[in-house]
Amino acid sequence: MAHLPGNAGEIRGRVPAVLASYEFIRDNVLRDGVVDPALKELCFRYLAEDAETMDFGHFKGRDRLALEWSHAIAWDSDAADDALWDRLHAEFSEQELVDLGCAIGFELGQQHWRRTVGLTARDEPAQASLS
Amino acid sequence: MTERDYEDLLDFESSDRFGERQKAALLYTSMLVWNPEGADEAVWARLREHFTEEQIIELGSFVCLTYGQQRVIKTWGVGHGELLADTTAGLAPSKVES
Repeated sequence: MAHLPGNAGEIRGRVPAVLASYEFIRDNVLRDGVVDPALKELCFRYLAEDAETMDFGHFKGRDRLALEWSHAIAWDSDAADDALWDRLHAEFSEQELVDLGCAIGFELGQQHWRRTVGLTARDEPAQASLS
Repeated sequence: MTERDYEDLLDFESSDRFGERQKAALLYTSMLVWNPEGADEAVWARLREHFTEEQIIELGSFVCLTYGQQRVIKTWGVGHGELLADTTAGLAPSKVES
């Protein structure tokens, strides 16, 4: 049950600074940046516990590494050990790691906020353009 | 912050160091971070006693922005307040005041 009226965009819009800061992050980090947006989207789906993303055995290379790091960020920071960092550095530039890590963190926070106000973690695809 | 400060924060409901408005904000923070679906009508009623809806939206946005980035920098091995510690860009009180 939603505790505030409207969709995520309408709720944010009641506080212009909140909407503006979200839109800046969305346009510059979540949907843009130096990492392929499709890889970020895969990580965002994992954060929302999309069943198709939960088995790392289905993924390889950069996709799998990004998912493993997403898991560490969201649920188990100890999993980001030296071995994982060695693999991350082998596949990503430091610039990409900053971009991807910040994107995962922003999205994680947004999903928690959405769930707390009674929305789903993510919009259905048809609604995505509204948020 | 001292060890006692952290203990009081984690057990804020029974602490005498926080007012009711602060406790409502800390309850909201706890739900945002650890138990989003636990934010039921009782939680929201308590929030509305002390905050306008616009304040609730702003506070929630701030908490989640901070929470998400804290989770990332924890995997970088950087502590809260250490990132950009030589600038005024961080949230550490000593930096904000300087």
